[in-house]
Amino acid sequence: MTRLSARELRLRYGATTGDRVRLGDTDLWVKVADDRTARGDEPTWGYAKNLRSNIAQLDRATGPSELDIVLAGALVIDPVIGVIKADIGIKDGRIAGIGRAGSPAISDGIDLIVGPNTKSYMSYGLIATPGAVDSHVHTIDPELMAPALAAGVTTLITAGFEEPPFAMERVLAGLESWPVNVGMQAGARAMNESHLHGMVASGAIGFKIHEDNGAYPELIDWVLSYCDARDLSVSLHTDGLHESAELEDTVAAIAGRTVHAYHVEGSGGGHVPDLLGLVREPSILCSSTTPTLPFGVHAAAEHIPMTVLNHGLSWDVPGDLELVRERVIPARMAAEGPLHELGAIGIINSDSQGMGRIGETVRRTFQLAHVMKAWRRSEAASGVPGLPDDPGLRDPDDRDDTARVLRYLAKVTIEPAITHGISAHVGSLQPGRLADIVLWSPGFFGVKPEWVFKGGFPAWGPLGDGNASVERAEPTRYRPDWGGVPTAAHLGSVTFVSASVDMAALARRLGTRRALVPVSGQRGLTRTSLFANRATTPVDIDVRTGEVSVEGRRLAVAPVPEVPLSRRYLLR
Amino acid sequence: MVARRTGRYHRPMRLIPAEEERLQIFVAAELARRHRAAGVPLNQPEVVAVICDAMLEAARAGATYEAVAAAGRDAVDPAEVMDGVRELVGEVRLEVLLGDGSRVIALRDPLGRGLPPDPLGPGALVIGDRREIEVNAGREAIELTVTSRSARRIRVSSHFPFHRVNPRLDFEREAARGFRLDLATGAYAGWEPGETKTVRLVRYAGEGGADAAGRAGGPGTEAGR
Repeated sequence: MTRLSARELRLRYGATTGDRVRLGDTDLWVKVADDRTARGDEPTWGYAKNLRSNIAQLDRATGPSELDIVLAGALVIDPVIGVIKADIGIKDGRIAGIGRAGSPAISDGIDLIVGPNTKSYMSYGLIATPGAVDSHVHTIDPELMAPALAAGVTTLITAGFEEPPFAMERVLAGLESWPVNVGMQAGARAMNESHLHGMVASGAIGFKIHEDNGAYPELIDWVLSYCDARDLSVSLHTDGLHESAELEDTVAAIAGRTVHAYHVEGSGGGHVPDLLGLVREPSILCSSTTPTLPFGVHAAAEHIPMTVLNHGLSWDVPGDLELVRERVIPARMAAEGPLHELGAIGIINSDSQGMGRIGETVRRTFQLAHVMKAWRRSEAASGVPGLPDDPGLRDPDDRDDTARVLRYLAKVTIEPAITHGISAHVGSLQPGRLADIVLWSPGFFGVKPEWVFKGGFPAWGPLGDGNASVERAEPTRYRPDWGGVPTAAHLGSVTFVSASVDMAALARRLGTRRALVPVSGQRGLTRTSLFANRATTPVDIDVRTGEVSVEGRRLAVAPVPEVPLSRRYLLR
Repeated sequence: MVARRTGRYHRPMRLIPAEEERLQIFVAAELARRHRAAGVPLNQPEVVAVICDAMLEAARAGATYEAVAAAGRDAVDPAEVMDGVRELVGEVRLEVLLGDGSRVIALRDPLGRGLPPDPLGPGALVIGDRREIEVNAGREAIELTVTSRSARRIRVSSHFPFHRVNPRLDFEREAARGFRLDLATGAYAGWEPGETKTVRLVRYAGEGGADAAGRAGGPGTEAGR
């Protein structure tokens, strides 16, 4: 009988049940819970392999059950599915199943049939995650698209400043040639129904209220009423000046209705210094952006220029710098990570080119998971109430951070997808979702992907010398693959729109070739509607210092001098 | 009409993509060498760039395939590299221009120097169950003695329906119907000319093996001939 050593089994087919994999150069390890692939009949392609006519390929399987694409033997890391080894089947651009691929003629338990019309990608030894959903994107200019894709971001929810319809239609036309899904939140700038109607008719899935355009309590109330009646999202950057409202007034205006609160964080904008108090409100889904994740020793310093340059301020105008300095509060930055650890801030997003970095959303999420693991072990975390159970901290080998990894992965996948009513389509690799899949080599996890599949087809990756006799000869650079070239990108990408809009009329007006997909369920959400970051935390905030505490325990992580997923990987 | 004057006297560089890409490697390598000269340990892309540049330089100077590969392996001293980077440079893949034209080189583990990698380095896989695996456990198995009458080497892969293998392999063919070699997926058995060996076969799982599938016309079936 044929036996394989434990090592040879992994060399041939990658990790299996019970194995641990280290993610990049972080201290984070995942443990494989299950292996659904067909032991002994693993589909493999090539010289002397088995994906051939009438072997692991079922020749008669031309029909609805036959896959278009199979990713064989991937280590799936998915916020909902967990960490399992499986084959990923794709049909019509969506996930058909996460299971066992091959031919039922020669293997037991096949639920993903490989036929002569199935294209296979050998994914043994690679990690597969859902593409990231960045729910705070300002489409300032198209230069942000390539960094996003090279970092595994496949869905953009915009954050205002795309409006008015004249501008939205042009940006949507430009996005036509990029392999990303997009849902536009337009800026709500007036209590005027025709103003909001026009933007919904031009493709908006919701609205952004921003203090720079007015975040007055009566505007918040009015926009929420409008949106509650129409399943539209409301994202909010609050009044940092305290010109029209303080924290309590904003909360009162929201009045228990669902809001996606932006910048619930160290220093992004909004109520100074106690915006983090929004984590007390169950109907407010909180997100924070990349610059203070994790809290680093230079975070405070960079926020002076970042704020001046992003908010129409001047170095020379008297008073402008004072406004900026008031916003930069290290005590508040120190509390942001612990609130993520508690699950009270549920979402990480970029605020691209508007005080955040779109290519770092995923990277910083896992840097934060790494830093907060160390915090959990430190004196600073002891006695903090409400911290989620983390079995990894008790693992005798210190190599099982699966729960932590899934909780943080959720912050850039399923949580924003739920928040914006698109979790039936993105945010997870569950069957039925768009096959937006990022493949990672474990050593490069979170920082540089191997391949970005968009709608089931390779769309971006570190492609190499085009003249070479092999794939990916140096110099390798992130470039569009066939699914990402401008004339093909629409085949695998969708534009999310409001269900209330006349789709056919909108498609005609935009001249789009992309599928228009209605969002569903953006209203009536509370913190517990989220998947893994569901906490409502009764924080106390000192309005003089910005210090945050829970039941007398201070929430603070020390700023870190060094992060993983960084200097080992990046040519700078 | 204005004729575009493209080249009677003008002899531009005419850089093709591979030439532009060579410049990208050079610039990255030069940056890395500057870092190295300042005493900064090299990271993953810097190491790859320096190795590639060294191979391209050796090739440009007329070195042989082996000498070019050696130049790549010697280009970076592992002591000048950040810890963990060796584990991230598993293979460097590059096309170089040798005397006889373009050739591809793949350097495996160029920083290894024969030492084992860090078992807990970036991206490490730590095996949970270290026991050997019986790959086709529980499947009905038979043994057959097979003699090759061929003048050539014959190799048969794990999942090929054994009763349909090359007719120059001599064995009790009917007994093999519904069976395949008892090997791991992607492994193979081989027969030298005239060789006789006993192989173990296992019955296909699933709905009846490649026979069932073969009715639609696979290699060696009636319908497929």
